[in-house]
Amino acid sequence: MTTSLLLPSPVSRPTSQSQKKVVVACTHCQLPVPSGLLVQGVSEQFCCTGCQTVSRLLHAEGLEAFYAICDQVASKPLQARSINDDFTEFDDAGFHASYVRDLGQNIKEVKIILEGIHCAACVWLIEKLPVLCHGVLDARVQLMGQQATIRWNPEQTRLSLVAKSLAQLGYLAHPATDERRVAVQQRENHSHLLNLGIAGLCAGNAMLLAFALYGGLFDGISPEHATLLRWVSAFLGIIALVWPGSTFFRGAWQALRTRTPHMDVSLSIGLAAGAIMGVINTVLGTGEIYFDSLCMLIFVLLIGRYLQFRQQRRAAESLSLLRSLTPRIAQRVQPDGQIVRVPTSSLRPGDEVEVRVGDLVPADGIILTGRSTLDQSLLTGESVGVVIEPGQIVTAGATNLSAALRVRVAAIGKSSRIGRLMDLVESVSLARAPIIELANRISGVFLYVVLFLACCTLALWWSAGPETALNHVIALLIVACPCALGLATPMTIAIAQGRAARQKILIRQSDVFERLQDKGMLWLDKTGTLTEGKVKMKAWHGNKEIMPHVIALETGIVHPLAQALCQSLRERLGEQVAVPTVQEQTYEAGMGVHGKINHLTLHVGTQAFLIKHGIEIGMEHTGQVEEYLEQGWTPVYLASQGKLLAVAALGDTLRPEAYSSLETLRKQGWQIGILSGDHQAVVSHIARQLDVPAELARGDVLPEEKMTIVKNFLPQGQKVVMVGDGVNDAAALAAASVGIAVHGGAEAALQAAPVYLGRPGLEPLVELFDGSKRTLNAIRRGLIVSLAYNLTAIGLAIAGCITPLVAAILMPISSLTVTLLAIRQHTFTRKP
Amino acid sequence: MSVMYLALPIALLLVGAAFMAFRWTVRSGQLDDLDTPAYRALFDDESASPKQKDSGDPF
Repeated sequence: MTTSLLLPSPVSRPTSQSQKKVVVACTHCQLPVPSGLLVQGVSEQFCCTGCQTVSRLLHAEGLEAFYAICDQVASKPLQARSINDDFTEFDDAGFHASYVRDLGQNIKEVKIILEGIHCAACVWLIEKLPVLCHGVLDARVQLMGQQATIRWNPEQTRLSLVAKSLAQLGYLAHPATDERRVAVQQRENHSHLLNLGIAGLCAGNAMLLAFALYGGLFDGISPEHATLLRWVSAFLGIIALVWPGSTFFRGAWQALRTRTPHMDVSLSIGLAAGAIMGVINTVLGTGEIYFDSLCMLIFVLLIGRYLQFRQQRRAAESLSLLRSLTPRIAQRVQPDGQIVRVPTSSLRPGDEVEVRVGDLVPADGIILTGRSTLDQSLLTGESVGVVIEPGQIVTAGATNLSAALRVRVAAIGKSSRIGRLMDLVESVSLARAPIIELANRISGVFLYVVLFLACCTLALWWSAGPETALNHVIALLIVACPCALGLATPMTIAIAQGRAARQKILIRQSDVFERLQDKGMLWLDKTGTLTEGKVKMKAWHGNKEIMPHVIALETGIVHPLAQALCQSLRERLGEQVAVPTVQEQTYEAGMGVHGKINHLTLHVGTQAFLIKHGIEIGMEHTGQVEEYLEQGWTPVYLASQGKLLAVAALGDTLRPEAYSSLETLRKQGWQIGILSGDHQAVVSHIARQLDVPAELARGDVLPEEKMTIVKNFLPQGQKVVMVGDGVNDAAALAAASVGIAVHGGAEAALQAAPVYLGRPGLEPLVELFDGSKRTLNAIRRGLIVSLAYNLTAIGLAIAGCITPLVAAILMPISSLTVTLLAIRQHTFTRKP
Repeated sequence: MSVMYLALPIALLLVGAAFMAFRWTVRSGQLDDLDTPAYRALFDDESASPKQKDSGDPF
């Protein structure tokens, strides 16, 4: 069964009709295998040596079932990494002192966060770590929070080796910090669960006793048995009231102190009145006791609260922002010129560090030596690399693309630019005003109405004697308790969140639905949201015969534009094209490349690059170049033997469904704008294609400016939704009424935004708006039904018709109806 | 004397025992992670079946 999965599955990629190309998927990670690595006549093909190693390892240890599980849960293995990092900081004595627990008898335990855990198959693989890594005794994964607890024998292995094995499988280990916060949450979770347990036990048993008592009403019961049952009920009721029920009394006290009407107030009055009357009647041995209803009420309400708590906890557990953006390890240059690997956290301003090609810059600083290209998309959102020279400033988190750099550290960690930006994100997220929930608002009003009606009832029945009058009032207060009301909203929201998650729309805050109901301004980030985010060759003007030569020259150049040009040309010409060999190749960072192929001298690069090499730019391409620039594309000049032969245009592609999705959103009443760090020309061009008015298409926006625009563009109080994917959007996402991070976004964006769309494109966005409207409708329906129940019951209570039997039937039925309504809601169901 | 006077205290004791058991499960962290065990249950079958084949009689 598993063997068929291990064969390479040919995946045909959509290509133009002129050429048919079969892309072979990597046996391990399912990514396409580069044509150069294809091995003829072998069933297993790999995209890199890392994947090959991991696959061999899994087969050798008899863990092939991993692939079957991946297939079963519709997930893919991570691309394996070839690791040239030996994780020495995991063996550091300081590290052990702060993160590792010694359990004695040669067992040590560490809790780590593993970047990349995303599905059930990951859990399976990591828990098989003892098989893969000698000396590891036990590995337990906690999917929520991406954490793993690992126990190992320090005599048989070192933690750095364990971390290396994990990294090889594709999971990067970080020490789990914030032990204290985790401990606090754990305690809170335990107390929630214990409260729920006690309330459940009391409710179940009080109900059983109530059945006996009701049965006694019809068939007769001896007075001493009735008294016993009533006393036991009272005992259970009082336990439920003073232990788990104290949550509501504390909430009510808080609400009274801050003078905000809250559901807890009306609940507490009902609970207290019921309990006092119940105790009096138990002692007197006459009249109604309400303990069964009281216990049930507490239990059901606590279920609602627990659901809410779990959602909040899920939202809070994630990687720390800063750690995921900056590298773990830096290469520090010692005064004697030696290079040592140190944890980034131990860098100090004034240190000299080396940043190799492909590495992330560990700290803010000034370049001492080296000219290179930096990918600063983390901060600017711009997909094209930036050329940098000695004396210029680099920021932490940027990727070094083309040559090694020496950098003098100026600011690290929290004081670096990215650190300050993340601080901003966190403070904005915290400062958001708490939204009073729909149910709380209603029950605030409800409280006053019920109290007023209770007075009316008392007045109405006073003539029948104080005893009867008081009985009816208590019955009213109990029956009017918004039991179903308290359950309806959290239940509906929890179910909608679950359904949305199945559609890969993660909603982390429960008030998102409410905040999306009023239409307002919708800001979209250009890269990744509206466009594919991948640069491709869009046009070619001039001699086509030099295309293979260009491929040859650009292969191996680490620059996004060079790689994009190379790949697009390969796709256009097909894999079979004969690529000549390069005799000479000189690359000038950020300018271009020139070289010799079959005694032809070739130049590929910017206009400035060609002029520098004395190549004349004639008039024949000028018109075309202007057109490219207007489209927002980047022209690349190609010359052979000192003569300009062709111009290629590179640019980003608009997502196919972008226009129709925006049209749908506009019809729903959203005003749409673009907010991007890209050049104004590019943004304006895209805005024109999508009918976005010119004044709402903002380019060249810095991350901090994005936040200001999101905050201040509309008058206070109006809805602003921000959709983005980059770290540069994070502050704006946090500042918006609702921030929506999109597929493939940076970890920081995910953390800042309460909503995450796990599928690419704008369709899930439309689905989200649609779904949240339906969810709100479902919530309203639930509220109306439970209110109707309560009003009917109140009417009956005022009329004095509530017998214990009616009350006992009405209470659970209302909760049951509301639960059923919540389950049967039609939200986030995929259209056929 | 009715059996009720014996049965009810026993029932209450059972309730207390149930609560102590529940408290133990909560305190020992068995209910901390409610997501992963659902998947883990799937895997045990996966890994157990080939082992059974290995150890089992071929005929």
